Amino acid sequence: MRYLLRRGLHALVLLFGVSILTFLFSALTPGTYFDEMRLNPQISPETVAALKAQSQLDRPLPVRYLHWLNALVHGNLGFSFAYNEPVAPLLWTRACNTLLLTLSATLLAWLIGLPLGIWSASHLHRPPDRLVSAGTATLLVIPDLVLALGLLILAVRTGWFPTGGLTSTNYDTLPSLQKLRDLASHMVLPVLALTLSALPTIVRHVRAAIADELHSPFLRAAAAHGIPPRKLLYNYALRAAANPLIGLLGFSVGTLLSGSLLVEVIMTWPGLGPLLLESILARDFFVVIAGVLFSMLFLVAGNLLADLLLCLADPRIRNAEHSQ
Amino acid sequence: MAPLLQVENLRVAYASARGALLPALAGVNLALSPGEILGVLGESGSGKSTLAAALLNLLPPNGVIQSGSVVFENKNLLRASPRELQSIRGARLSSIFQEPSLALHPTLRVSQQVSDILAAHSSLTRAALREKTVDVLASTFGSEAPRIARSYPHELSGGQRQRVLIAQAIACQPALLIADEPTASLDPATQREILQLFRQIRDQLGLAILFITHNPLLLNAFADRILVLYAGRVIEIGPTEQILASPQHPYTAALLHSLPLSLIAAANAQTSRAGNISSAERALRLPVIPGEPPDLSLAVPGCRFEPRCSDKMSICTTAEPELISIGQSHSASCFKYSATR
Amino acid sequence: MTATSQPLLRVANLTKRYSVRKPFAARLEFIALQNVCLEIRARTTLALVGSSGSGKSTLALCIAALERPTSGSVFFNEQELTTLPENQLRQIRPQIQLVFQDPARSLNPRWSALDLLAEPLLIQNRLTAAEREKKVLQLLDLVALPRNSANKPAHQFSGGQKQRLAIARALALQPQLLILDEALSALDCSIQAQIANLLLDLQSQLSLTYLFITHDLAMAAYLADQVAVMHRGQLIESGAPQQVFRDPQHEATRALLTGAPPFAPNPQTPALVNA
Repeated sequence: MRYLLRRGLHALVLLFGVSILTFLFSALTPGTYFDEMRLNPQISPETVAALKAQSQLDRPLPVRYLHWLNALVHGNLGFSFAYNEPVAPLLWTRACNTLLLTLSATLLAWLIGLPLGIWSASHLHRPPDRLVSAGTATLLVIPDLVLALGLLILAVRTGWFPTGGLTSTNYDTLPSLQKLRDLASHMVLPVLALTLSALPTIVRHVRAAIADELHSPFLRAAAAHGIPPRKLLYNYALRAAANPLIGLLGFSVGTLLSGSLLVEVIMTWPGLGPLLLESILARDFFVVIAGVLFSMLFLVAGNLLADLLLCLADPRIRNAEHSQ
Repeated sequence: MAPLLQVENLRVAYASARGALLPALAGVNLALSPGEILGVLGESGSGKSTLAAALLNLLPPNGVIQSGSVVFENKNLLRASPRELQSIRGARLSSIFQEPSLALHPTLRVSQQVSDILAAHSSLTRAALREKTVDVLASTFGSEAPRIARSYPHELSGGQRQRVLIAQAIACQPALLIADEPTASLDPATQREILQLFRQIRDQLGLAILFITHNPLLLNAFADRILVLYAGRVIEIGPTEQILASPQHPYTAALLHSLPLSLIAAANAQTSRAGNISSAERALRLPVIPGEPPDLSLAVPGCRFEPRCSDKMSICTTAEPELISIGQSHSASCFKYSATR
Repeated sequence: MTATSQPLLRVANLTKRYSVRKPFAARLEFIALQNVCLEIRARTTLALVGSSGSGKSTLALCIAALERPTSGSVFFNEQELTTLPENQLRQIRPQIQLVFQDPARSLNPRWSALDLLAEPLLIQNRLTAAEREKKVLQLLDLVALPRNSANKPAHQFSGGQKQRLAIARALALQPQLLILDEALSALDCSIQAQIANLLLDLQSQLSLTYLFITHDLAMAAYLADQVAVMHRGQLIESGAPQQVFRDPQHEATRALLTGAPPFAPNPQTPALVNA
């Protein structure tokens, strides 16, 4: 318990630090949103000046930071210049869209990757294992970009799947079940792309971790006691191999918000990625900070989750932390 | 009485990375009766651990059983199917390997590791399993059993871990227990306790024990018979008292004489009561066996112990000796005894 | 061989306490050594025996100045070690060397014998590479290892050979005191005899002094001039082996001896008797 509180505190401090850094970098990047505006002949310089004054961009940095922090505590993430709406709801919708993709992809990748890795390890160096290794190697070599584009081309050629977007244009008119189908069909390609890019890492790590444990003395001793092979593999080898895999799981969770940017952009999925990209390019200050912070939150949460799971799974770590 | 375990002409080798075969056991024969404790005395390179693994048909992936049979309760384990083996191992024939700290799963509770074995060989309900687990642990831990059951291996001392291994081995009341250096990493006081425990379980359960060790002192007043292994061969076998008091094979004799205990005994026998033992002993060096155990990858026509033997004869380099009966149930494989017989 | 007037090593009132802190519990103090006093004369062997947890290894570490005691002093050649600053201590360290129980773990298995034996020479930094190699070959001769094995990686040596390497490495800096912490315990019986004899030969050849920590009482009786018995951090008895083992004064010493193979065997069977 004390261990978790300590880690939680670390996490908070980390988030603080990140927020300061992001604020600093964003504020120090040359240019503001209003520079673009100034170039627009349709808007008068006075309007620009007024808007600029309103956004308090001329105040000193620490003051702006404290202001922002204060607003954050009250749940106000600022105002998006580009979208002309408060950041919080904007971010929220986009993040949910992203999570829809990444959660499905991560779940799928682990559901396939874990058994595949175990199966591969139990046939180490024999044809099934070699096949899996070749497959994962191929997938690893293909860049995410190529993968996503390839899937898009497939969609275009076959017409089986929509080629982008969240939903079809007639979404709102559809009955609920159809709505679900529509959403699902739009999700297939991006989820597939994300799963395929995450799968090889998981399979390889699982395979390596299990292969390591298969030579352990305790596994041999358990076999000598007549423990059936299936139990040996799942209850003994997998449990012993859990530590590095839990770390990997933490990483998977950590990148839930940040790992899908490329795929989202290519498949025009309205997620956090494209939003962040646009906002950076448009100098949409508050959106950038909020977006980065949110991603960091997930990363930190992912690490914390991994630590928690490690404590739960490995009594040696539990004891070590206790004696501190 | 039919032997419980009969091993005939067991030959085992290991395949090296390049495919060459390194022999480890070169034709081992032994027989074990029910309830008997057979001590297998062997040092590094004698093939004792290979023997333990081969008896269970649990050699590492590069181990090759070249020939021979291991008949346990009328079943040749070397020809049994994986399913049959799985039902025999842990239930009728169990084992304790070296290094108790490594033989237990690091993140499973002791109770789990014992009840898994019970579950693998019986169909008890979960509650019955729990009860039986505590019973089994009680046979080696007494009243501490519930606390030990809840513990993890890293929370236990070396001696306690060894007791857990023993509990695991006797959980299903096997007929034969193979123990490979079970006391090697323990301090002497704990060693004595564990040996005492072995005697206890043999008396209570009537099981036979194949006790492998490199230390002859452990077999004293413990084993019924001793089998001496050298270079993958049985070179002497006989009743414990006979072997320890009057070893016939030059290796066994040299081994026993190289123990400091023997030297002290000899010094005591020689010095007068008023002598200073220390300086008398110091003048006597421990009679060591010169050289190193042989490299079995090199094929040699004669006796494997010949290079280090103090009693060698010309025939020893040209032919390999067979086991020759010397006394009642005492045999040694040495040419010294063939001429007179 | 006349004994020198002052002992080579003198330990006076050595105490070592460790404190362990658990969450929500009071600080626990573990007393590893309590007021230990002993002496070792030059060119002799002191065997330190006792059950596990009695503090033998802790004492060895304090003597070797690898642990600072809580109180008390360690005199080596009449120089007090516990209060010396590290840079001065460094001058004395080559004089006191250690050999551990498990050569597989105290020697890096990937390094060749040459690298392992040259390392201490390298740290002292006074020889050229050629001189170092020459010294290494001399060391191999000392411990009866073939010269052509110098380039073999450590993991290719047998257990007994590895321990010879460990001893050779300890001798590289020409120490006066060698602390052997259960150095024979992990070896096969016949190899133990070989290494024990080697140690005796080296002792007379190089005028070494040994602190031999063991739980094998027979080996202690064979190798040692003096025996000291430890129990729960205290030195409870000491004297010549035949005195201590024949006529133990302390109950803990008696407990050590019971069940251990007896030292007064039946003269008819010089090998062994029933326990």
